Amino acid sequence: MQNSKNTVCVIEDNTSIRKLFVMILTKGGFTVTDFEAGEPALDWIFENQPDIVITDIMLPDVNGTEILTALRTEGFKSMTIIALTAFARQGDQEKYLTMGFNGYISKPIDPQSFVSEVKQIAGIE
Amino acid sequence: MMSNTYDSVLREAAKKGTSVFSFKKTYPAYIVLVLALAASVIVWKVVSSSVEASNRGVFDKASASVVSRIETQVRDHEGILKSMEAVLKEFPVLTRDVFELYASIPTKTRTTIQSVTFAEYVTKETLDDFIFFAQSERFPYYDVHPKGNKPFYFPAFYVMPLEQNSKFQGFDLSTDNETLKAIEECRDAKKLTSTGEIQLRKPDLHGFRMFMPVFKDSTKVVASELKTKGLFKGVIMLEVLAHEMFRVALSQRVATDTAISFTILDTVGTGKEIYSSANFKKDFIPTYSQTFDVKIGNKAFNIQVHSIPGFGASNLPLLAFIGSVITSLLLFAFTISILTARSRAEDLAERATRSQRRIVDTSQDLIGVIGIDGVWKSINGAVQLALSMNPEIVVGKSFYDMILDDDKAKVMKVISEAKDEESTTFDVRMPSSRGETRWISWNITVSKTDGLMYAIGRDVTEAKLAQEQIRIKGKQLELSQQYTVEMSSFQSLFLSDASFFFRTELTGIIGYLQLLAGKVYSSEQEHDEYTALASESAEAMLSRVSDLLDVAQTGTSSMIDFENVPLSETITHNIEHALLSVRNPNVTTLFSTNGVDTHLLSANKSLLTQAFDLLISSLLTDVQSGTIDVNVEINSYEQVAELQLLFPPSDSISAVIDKLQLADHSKTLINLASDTDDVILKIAQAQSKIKMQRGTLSIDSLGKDGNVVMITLPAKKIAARRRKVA
Repeated sequence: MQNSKNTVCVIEDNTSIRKLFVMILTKGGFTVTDFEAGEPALDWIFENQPDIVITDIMLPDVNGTEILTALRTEGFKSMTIIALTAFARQGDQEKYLTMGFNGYISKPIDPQSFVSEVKQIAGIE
Repeated sequence: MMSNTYDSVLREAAKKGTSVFSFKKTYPAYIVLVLALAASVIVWKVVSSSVEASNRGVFDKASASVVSRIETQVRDHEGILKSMEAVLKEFPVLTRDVFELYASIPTKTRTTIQSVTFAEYVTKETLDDFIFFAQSERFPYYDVHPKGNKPFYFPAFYVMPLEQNSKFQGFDLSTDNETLKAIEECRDAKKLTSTGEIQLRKPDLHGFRMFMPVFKDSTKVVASELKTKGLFKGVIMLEVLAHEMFRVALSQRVATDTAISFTILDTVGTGKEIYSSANFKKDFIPTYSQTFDVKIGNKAFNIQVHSIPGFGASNLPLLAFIGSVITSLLLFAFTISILTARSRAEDLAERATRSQRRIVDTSQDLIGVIGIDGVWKSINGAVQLALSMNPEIVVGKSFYDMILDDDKAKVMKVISEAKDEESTTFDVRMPSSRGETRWISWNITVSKTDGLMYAIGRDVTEAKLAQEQIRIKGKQLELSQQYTVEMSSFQSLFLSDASFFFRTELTGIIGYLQLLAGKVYSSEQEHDEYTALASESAEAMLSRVSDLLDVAQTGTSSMIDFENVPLSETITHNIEHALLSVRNPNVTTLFSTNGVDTHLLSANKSLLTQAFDLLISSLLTDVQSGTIDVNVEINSYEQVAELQLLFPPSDSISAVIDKLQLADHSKTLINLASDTDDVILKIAQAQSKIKMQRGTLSIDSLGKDGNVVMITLPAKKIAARRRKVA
């Protein structure tokens, strides 16, 4: 079954991890576009408006929260934006949700459940 | 009362000083004293004389009074005789009635008169006629007695009072020699005569017989012719009771009688005592005495008057002398005072100056006087102590030249702005002659009136250095705290970064390994790619692990060494060691170590000992006696030894524990401000040392049940010994 939301933009500065995410999401049925920095990703997102944006919080240029703010400010309120972070502390989920993210996934990920987590956050069956 | 003020001590010392009272300065006072004492002697003598004269006067007055009264009495009785004689002269013939008429009055009015008698001169030839005549005078039984054949007789003819003297009537007075002698004397001298005191009748009746001659005619005859011409008729005799006469004479006492005593002696007869005053004492030597002769007729009796014991005794001369001596001494003292007033004032001033000079000289503060121009006028010996400079060298030097150049301008400004007669304080650096710089805190009072500046300085170098040290230590502490925070922050950050990194790299490792394990690759190339990516992440992690070791050593000179030590033995040893340090023999321990002998503790021995020393010394504060219950168990699951130490109750420790927040370092640091016994400091230090050994320490108060400490430390079971296989 084709997903209605199947375009994903992955923003991750670590190459091997980014490749892993792209590979897992592609195998999960998503059309994935990946970027290693926030600025070029934002330009693409504004132009192409993917269904889901999965962004690392710690990025070399603009960080994940700034990407979230930019997108929400520009009116992409319904876009699913998921935070990806290696800083998994107590209360972080609530914090990211409060910020405006639709969800967050902490590293290291479980490849087997990664896709289902993304779908769950995006509300995809 | 002891002196207790500076002034009073100086004044008392001045009083004891001798120089002011040297003879050279005070000889006039001694002259005054000598003269005054001489005057005292004169006063004594004058007063003595005055008292003597007064006493003599009193005595004489008293004596005269007695004598006068006796003389009056005697004159009175003589007067009776003379009156009788005068009366009888008027009558040509003396008859009984006439005699009795005129004689009755004195005899009735005077108790002193035994009788008034007319004794007729009767010759032998006329005796019978006389007796006849007497009997015709209504004396029927009249007779002359004692009988005798004599040429003449003097029989008592008329006698009054007759009743009392009836037996005396007819008595021949010539039979008594003394009486006859007195009769003959009065006949011959034609004067009143008297006997001495003789026995009148009974042995106890004594008195005087006073006589007045009676002649036949009133013609005057020459005494030598009396016998031949026979004109002598007889005598009028007054028998006076001597004792009664004196008694009556002195019966009306006067005040002066009390001052004297007297005795009346018969000088004619035996010289015996006729009459004495009641207070007369024979064996007493009187102060004053005088003898008077009182004539009675042609005789005299002797009145010896004595002053009574204690008469005229007066302390007045002695008192006057003493008073005069005291006055002399007071005058002497006053003179001395006047003479030495100036000297004493000068001496006192000199003492005060000397004393204050001593205070200044012995003071360890610099005390001196500076001219308005800044030149030292005087400085005390403390300058030697403070700046190693001789006071003599400093005097004449400029105060400003002694100040370090950097501080000079400041001092000059402060002094120039100082108000007159008000003190100003400042601290300056002054190089000593030994080359070191000393901090001197000056208090200077500028007196424009005196043209001087009064300076007191104190060497505060040590205080300044200490202050500086404290300031430095404070800064160091502040910085150390900052470094600690920085280190803590750095480590936190590093760990946070490391966590982030590891999580990131692990994402790759786990992810790719899971893909490889799940054979989620479509080609050999993909397989190799996944393997290479996983390996890449692993390499990155390895390099970061190396960094960890570097960070672990950051800020410390060496890593803590851990040893595996026997659990039970180590705990027991450390607790006992700590108790020895506390030196309280009343605190004991009770160990319960269940199955812990099989375990080793991973710890740093030194840190562990320090931790227990700190813990036990702090928790036994204010504990007099008790038992520390030590319970050690092994938590195999967490691989730690759990130590529970139950300390005896202590209210002060419980109070500290209640506000202790060991987990919050900043709150612990704040609580140190009220940590007077260092309990919080020690507990916090103990906890830190335990944590440095990967352990934990918590503490709780159970009130009256005591205070409990729970410690965990890594522990592992002792490996079973393997038997060597041959």
